[in-house]
Amino acid sequence: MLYRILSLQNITFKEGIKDKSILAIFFIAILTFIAIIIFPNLFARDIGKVCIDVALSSITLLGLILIFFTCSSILSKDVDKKTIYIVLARPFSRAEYIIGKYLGFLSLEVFVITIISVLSTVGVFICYHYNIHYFPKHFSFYEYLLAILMIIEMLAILIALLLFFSSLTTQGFTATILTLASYIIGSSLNDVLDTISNSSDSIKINKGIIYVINLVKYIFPNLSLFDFKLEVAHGVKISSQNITTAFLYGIIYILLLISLSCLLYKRKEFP
Amino acid sequence: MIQFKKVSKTYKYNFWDKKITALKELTLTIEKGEVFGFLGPNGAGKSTAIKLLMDFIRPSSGMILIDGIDSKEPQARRLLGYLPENPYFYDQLTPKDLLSFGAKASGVKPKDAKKRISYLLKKLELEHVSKRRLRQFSKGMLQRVGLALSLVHDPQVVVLDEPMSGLDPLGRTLVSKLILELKERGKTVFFSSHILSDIERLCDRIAIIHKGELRFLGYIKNVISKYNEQEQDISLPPKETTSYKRILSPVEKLFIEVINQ
Repeated sequence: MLYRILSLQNITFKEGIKDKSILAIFFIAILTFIAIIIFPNLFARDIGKVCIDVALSSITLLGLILIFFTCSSILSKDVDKKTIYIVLARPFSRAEYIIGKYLGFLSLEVFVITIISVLSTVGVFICYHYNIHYFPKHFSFYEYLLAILMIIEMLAILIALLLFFSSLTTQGFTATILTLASYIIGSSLNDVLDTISNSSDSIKINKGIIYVINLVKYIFPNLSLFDFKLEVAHGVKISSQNITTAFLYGIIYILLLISLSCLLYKRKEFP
Repeated sequence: MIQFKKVSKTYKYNFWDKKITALKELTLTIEKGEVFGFLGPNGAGKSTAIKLLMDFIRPSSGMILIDGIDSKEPQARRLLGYLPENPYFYDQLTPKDLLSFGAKASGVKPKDAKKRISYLLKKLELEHVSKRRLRQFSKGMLQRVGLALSLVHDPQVVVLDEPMSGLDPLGRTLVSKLILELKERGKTVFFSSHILSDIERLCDRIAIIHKGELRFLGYIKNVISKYNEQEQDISLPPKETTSYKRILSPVEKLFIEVINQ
């Protein structure tokens, strides 16, 4: 079983890494590397903050491009052009297909993000070396790397969401749109919840809206939990409790989505 | 080897649509070692039957057994090699990547897989393009890659959905030879085709399906002896205004007769 899953993971990774969009991602990564070194110098005393923010934001952005272009196009081919037939014609169970595909996308994401992270870390290091006085006092590369790991976990949730939505829809494009919508909702969920809880009596929010938002809170992933850009850029120590909570939340959410996708794929037909 | 037991399939494309019956209680047994031709006009239900066999879709009623194993079980597909009607592959991969995946996924040992892959690449005249990406391939070349993929684990049963489509005459000869070789090696071949001359040449037994129903099942030698050297005035379906008088091959005669019933 493991051998089969790994064979699927392997071709998914190969198909992804040879895709043209990967070249574009690496090209943007090089531009970002240059930007990390040059751009922050325009911001006088905020060089450190801008440098870290640009580096972490570009890693997130390129990870999202990878999911919404490369991974979703591979998945669309499976569903729309029926490349899935070459997999399902082998002794794969539907659950093995989901796990193999997920591991393929995940390994692709980890590989690409690692390369981009190395580039951006070198950029931040050069910037840090020449502008050490303009960096936050308690800035640490360890916490910078922790923030990257949390970005990877956030992207891993999005991949699981993409697979989950592909099990609900008959078109790859719809699955991509739903994943994108979930990303937008998941990233802004915390801000909306904060606004509701801090709203004064003069601004009355409809009870129905509060009910819907509370429901959404339990359905969509709270992706802002994985965003530590602000802490790292301001040299604020990331609490280990926050990291552990986000990590466990992410793992549980992924396992839940993968299990649901396996169940739904078991019933899915590919006419 | 393959048994369809009262298999029916109905589709409902949308919630408000009426149910469409693609297959009506198909009962069919394909014996071990025979080359079985599955015929029918477009939309007759041939591909539906093959997709049910491969468990891409599920029967509304009835069941399919492959060597006694329910087709829904993944282990049943260990015995099958499958070529889809329009093979689409991961187009950034090379034929070698794809065949290597096929062998690994079917549990072929790496040493045997290497030998088998180079044998098939040579056999299907794909050696010179084995490292080229599949997106650069023509339809005929993809068809050959698909054939190689269906045979890479040396399956007991080979299911070919329109194996000749998109092939030039040389390609067709190559596939025909391959099917005959499989037959000699005692493999079971189940294939659908519109090219009746190929069916006549290669098959032991045929089934004709029309509007989801099995209309004919019999041995090709009986069909040939019944229709051979008969010159019939075959009237095409009533919608056609012209009547043709020409000599048709026995399978063509049978096909038109069965469809017009």
